[in-house]
Parts: sequence; C-alpha cells; structure tokens
Amino acid sequence: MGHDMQGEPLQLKTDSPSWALAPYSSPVGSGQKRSFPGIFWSLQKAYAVTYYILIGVLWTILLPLPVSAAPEIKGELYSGFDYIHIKKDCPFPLESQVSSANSLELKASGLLSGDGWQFSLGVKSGQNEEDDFLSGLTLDELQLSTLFDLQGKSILVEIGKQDWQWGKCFSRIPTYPLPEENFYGMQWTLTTENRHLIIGLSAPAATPQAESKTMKEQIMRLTSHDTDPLSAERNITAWVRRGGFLASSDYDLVFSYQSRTKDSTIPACYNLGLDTSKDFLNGLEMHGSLNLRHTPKSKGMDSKTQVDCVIGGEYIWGAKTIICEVLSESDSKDTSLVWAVNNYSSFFSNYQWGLESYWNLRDDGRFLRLLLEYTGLRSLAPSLELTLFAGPEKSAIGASPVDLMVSLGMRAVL
Amino acid sequence: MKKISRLTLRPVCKDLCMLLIFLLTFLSNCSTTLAKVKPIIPYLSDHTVLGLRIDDEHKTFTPYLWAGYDLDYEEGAYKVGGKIEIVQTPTGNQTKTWLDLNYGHWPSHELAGYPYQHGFTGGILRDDGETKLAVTVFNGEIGEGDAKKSTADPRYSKAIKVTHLHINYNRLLFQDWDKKAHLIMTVTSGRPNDENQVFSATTWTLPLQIGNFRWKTQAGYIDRSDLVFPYFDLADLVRGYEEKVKTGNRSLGMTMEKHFQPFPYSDLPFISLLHLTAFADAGGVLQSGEALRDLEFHHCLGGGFLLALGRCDLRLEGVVTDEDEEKILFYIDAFFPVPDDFE
Repeated sequence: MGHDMQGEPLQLKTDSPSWALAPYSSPVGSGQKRSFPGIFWSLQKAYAVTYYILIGVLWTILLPLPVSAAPEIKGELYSGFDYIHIKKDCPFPLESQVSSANSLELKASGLLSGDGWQFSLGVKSGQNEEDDFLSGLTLDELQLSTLFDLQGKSILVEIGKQDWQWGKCFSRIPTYPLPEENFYGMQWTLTTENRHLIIGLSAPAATPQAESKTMKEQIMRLTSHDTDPLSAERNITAWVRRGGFLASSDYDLVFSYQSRTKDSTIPACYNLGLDTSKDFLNGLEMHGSLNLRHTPKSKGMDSKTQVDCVIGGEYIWGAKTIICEVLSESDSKDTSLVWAVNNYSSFFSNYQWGLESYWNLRDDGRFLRLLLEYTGLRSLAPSLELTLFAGPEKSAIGASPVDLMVSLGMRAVL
Repeated sequence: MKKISRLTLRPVCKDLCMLLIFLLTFLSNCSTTLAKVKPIIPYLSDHTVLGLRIDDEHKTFTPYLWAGYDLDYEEGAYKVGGKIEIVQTPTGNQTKTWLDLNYGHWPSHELAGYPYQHGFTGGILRDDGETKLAVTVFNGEIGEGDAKKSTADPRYSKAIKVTHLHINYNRLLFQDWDKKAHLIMTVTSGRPNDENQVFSATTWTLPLQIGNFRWKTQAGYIDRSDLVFPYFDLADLVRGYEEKVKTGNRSLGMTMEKHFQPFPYSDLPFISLLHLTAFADAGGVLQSGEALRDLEFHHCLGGGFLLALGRCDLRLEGVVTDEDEEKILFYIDAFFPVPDDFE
C-alpha cells in the first residue's frame, strides 16, 4: 500500500459559488429540487425499488411486445469532459477544474393503435458531480398529438411535455414567455388556408434556473439569453397566437398570461407581442419580435411595463449561415449584439462548425463561443466547444471568475 | 495476513435459493436439449476467471451459470442468471440485443479499488458488429473480495451496498487489413444505499493499430463519495510502476508500441506468433484537490517479447521508468478489450 494513496485526502466538494447565481437569484424555489411526476422523487431515495422497477419493466412489459407493434426506439449517449479555467485575479477561492458530464437519452415514438394518435416518449438521465444516472432520471419528453378534421378545417391537438417555443429569432424570442425547457401543457392549432390560430396552456413544474448546481450549469446560465428566469416558477402560462403567411413573409400576434403561484411573491403578468419575418428570396431573411410585458400592481410591488425586442437577419451564403441580431431589454436596460456564423445547414459536410458571439453594449460584457463537431463517423460525433468570457469587472459576464470553458464531448447515437 | 472478505459473510441461504431458482428454470427450459458446457478462459475479456459456464446460446431465453476461480484475485466467482436474445437485421447487419439479469459474485473493473461485486445485475446489451453497448444496473455490494491484493486501507476493506448504472460503449472506428481503431467509453455512476452522495467514473480509451505500430490514449475522471472511493492507478498507465503507489481521480495516459516479427514464416509451433516489442508509456494521475498544472507526467521505456494469441497477448518485458526503476514483467493483456458480457 503506497503512501500517496493513504495520504490522499477526500475530494473537496466546491460549494456552488454565489457569483454566478447573483444576477439571477430567485427569491423562491432555490435549494429544493422539484420535479414531476412525483414517482421520480422516490427514485432518489429508494434505489432498490428503482432497480426492481427497471428490471420489472424490462422483463414484463417490453418483452411480450411483438416486434411489429414495437415503437421506434432511439437512444443517444453523450460523454464529455469539461475544463473550466478561473481567472488569475479571481477574488473567490476557486481553482480551475476538470469535470465529467454524461447523459443518456432514450426516445420511443410511434402510433397508438387505431385512433390516429401519435406519441413520443423521451426519458433522459444525466450524471455530473451532483446527480447520478438513477436519481437524475427524468421524463424529458412526452408528446401525444392528433389531427382532427372540423368542417374542412384541421385542428392539431398536442398534449404532453415538450418545448412549446415558437418564433425565428436566434438569440431569444421575446414573445415566448417561458425558458427553453420542456414543460407540461397542451396546445390546439387551427389552420385554415394561410392563417392559423393557436391556443396553448403550459404548467411549468420545475425551476431549472434555480437548480443550477454545478459550475458548468451556472456558466451556461450566464450565457443564456433568458431575461426572466422566474417565468418558469409561475403557475400557469396561457397563450393565444393569431398569425398567417403572406407571399414571402409571416406574422404572429401573441397574447400570453402567466399566473402567480399561491405562495409565491412573483406576480402574474400579461404579454402582448408580435413576431414577423420577411424572406427576400435571395438568401436574406429579416425577422423581428417585440413584446410588451405588463405586471399589474401587487402586494408590495408597483405595476410595471417592460419592452423587449429583437431585430435581426439571417443570410445564407453557400453552406454558411450568417446571423446578426440586436436584442433590447427595457427592464435591465441592456442592449446586446448577437452574431453567429455556422455551417449547420450543410448536411453533406464531415464537419459542423459554429461561431457565436454575444456583446452587451451597455456594460461591455461579452462572450465568444466556438463549436466544432466531426460528423464523418456513422452514429458517433466527437465535438469541441470553447467559450471565452471577457468584459470589465462591473459587467455581469466580466464579474464571473471564469474566463474560459472547454468541453470535449462524444455523442453516440445508439 | 490474508484478509477475510466481508462479502463472504452474507447469508448462504440467499445464494442457495438463487441457485435453486436457476436450476429449476434451467431444467424447465432445457427439457429436450442439454445445455452446453464451455470453458471460461481468463484474460480474453475483462476478467481473469478460469472456470466453466453452462448455457445454451441457441435459445431465445437462456438461463446460465458461470462459475470459476479468479486467478488474479485468488477467489471463487460465480453468477447465475438468464438472458433473452433478440436478433434484428434492419439494414443487412445483424444486430443482437440481449436482456440480461443475473445474481452473483463476479469481478468487475467498473470501479478501481472495488474489484468484486456481489448482487443483482440487470441490463441491456447490444452488438451490431461495429458497436458493442452494455447498459447495466447493479444493486448489491462492492468490495475487495478475498483479494490477495487487498489493501490495508480501511476505506476499501468494507463491502458497501450501492446501486449504480454502468455504460460500456465500444465502437469500432476503423478497420482495414492492417489497421484498426476503437473507441471505448465507460461510465459508472451511482450512490451508496446509505449515503446521499454520488460517485462516478468516466473513462475514454482510444486504441489504434497500424500494421506493427500501436498507439493507445486514455483519459479518465472520477467523482468520489465519502464511502465509495475509486481511483486511477499510475501502474495501469505506465508500466514499471508499483500498483497503488500513485493514484488519483483524474488520469491521462499514452502508450506507443512497435512490434517486429522475427520469424513470420516459421513452421515451428508458436514461433510465427512471436514478436519483439519496443514501447514507451507516458501518463499521470492527479489527486483530488490538485490543479491541472500539478500534473506530473511519468514515463517508461521498455522492450521484450510478445506472443500474439489472437484476442490477447502473452508478454515478457523489461522496463525502465523515469524514476530509474527497472522491472521484468510477465503478463497477459488485450489491446482491444471486449466486456465479458459479449463472450
């Protein structure tokens, strides 16, 4: 037995630093992990039960299915190493660190017998320094959809847990009131010749923004463009969208309402917005989105109205796509310039690369992200992602102690 | 002094019940045909057990019994279980999928420091000829077993009840008549049943062979809990180092090797399989709390003889490390390892 091993200290767990949470701190919901449905809570504690449930499902439910009736099942395994570099003059007691993150996704899709309902069921599990695969197991996606014919008009009905996002903006869609997550909800889409009416309802049941526990998650939050991280904590979000298509353009008028939870201090709010885009049919497309958010007066809080807007364009140049957007948020008084270049639309290339930059014009905080993925191997894609943070210390991004994050990943389609 | 493994102190009746259930299922399933008895050959896959296995691979549902003696850890090992095989031929390539459930006391390389696991293992295994994937869930005890190599460290002497998930992804990246490259990713992640902390171990291995030249790169990362304390050993990265002297929770290693075949056309038995080897290893491990800049690369140079036995190599080598340690090594190794579940 060697001396080094005996003398090796137990691994020190770095507590979540407060720096990254600070700009987005949530008054409620932090700390307590909330997830839905509740059965997954039990997975965290009763491991033996988890195990027997898994085996039971495999041996008793899946096996008797005849192959012809089996749904299409897809899986994806991601394994990656992250390197987070801390600035030399960082005032916090933090060290540059390497960590690993792995995830496993399984998705089944198919037709329910006879009545025209399509289903899609996705289970996701992740592993990092806080979660293992079994406790991190969540129902990531559940979609049930069907098409009804109503006097010549078709109504698409969607129920389940999914990302309900709409719009064409690259950085953020101001009219969409929820973060980029999957939420339980339902939506009805009535489509006529060139117009549509969409009514939707969603019940956010998680607080993903407040649950960012690992350093990487906190950094990713810093680079996300969600200006209202509390929106996921509201009780019900309902929306009505009325829009249509013109010769080479489209528009969407959106009204949405977010209610407050019973014990929450986060007030309800109303949103009214417009999304529009115009395709010049020469590779150039322009788009814009404007949203007015009104928060009525509530206990201890005055009413307020904030205006968020994005205006930008996208130019397809050969296999490359060039995107440029200006994002303005009246609440934080931030105006940001976002640009990106990528070849994601090039399906026959062995490489996919993308470069994107965010520059806060008010406080000069900015980050640059480079993504590179090799897609020449069948069902296996190694990738490299570099994110550089810069800006003065007073800026939200510059105040972060991290100046570089490198992620090396391997994505395998199973 | 040989340690008494706490794994063996479990009630024997539970194991006997499992054996009885297995035998009953086995007999009911094999009413017309007799099962086959095959040898379990050590070193061909990721274990060193010599023994016998009873199963019938031509059936859709195959109960099996594996039993033997672990030459490396010098103790008995067994597992009893059942396997259901599903064969699909979606695009010409035959894809085999197994659902496997077993109970046993079997060596495991999923968490270094805990070479034995005793309990239930259930999982899905898939092999399409190019990719081998094993996703298994284990519930039971991990520990040292009766290992002759057991440590005096109390952290490893006690068997710990855990539940963990293990993923082994083994992909053939490239194969030509004299070129071959694999990618092997393994992830083990779970929690002790009595603790709320997680542990995990992630490793990537990229073995590459071009003609008589071999190159292997490996990297790994471990998250530990207070009870489960796996490690990477420098001895696994750089030949010539003593086991368990330099360990850590992060590792990076490289191996370069050149083979020379002195008698490729000899008619004498085994002589055409003989190779002369020259190699260099480099690698380092980081202990928890150490920064990346503290990574110290150790290296070694060596040469010797290699008898190519197909899936594994018998090797006799002399090696000199960067700390001027000289050693003669005699061992069996598989450059492209395959999990024993796929045997």
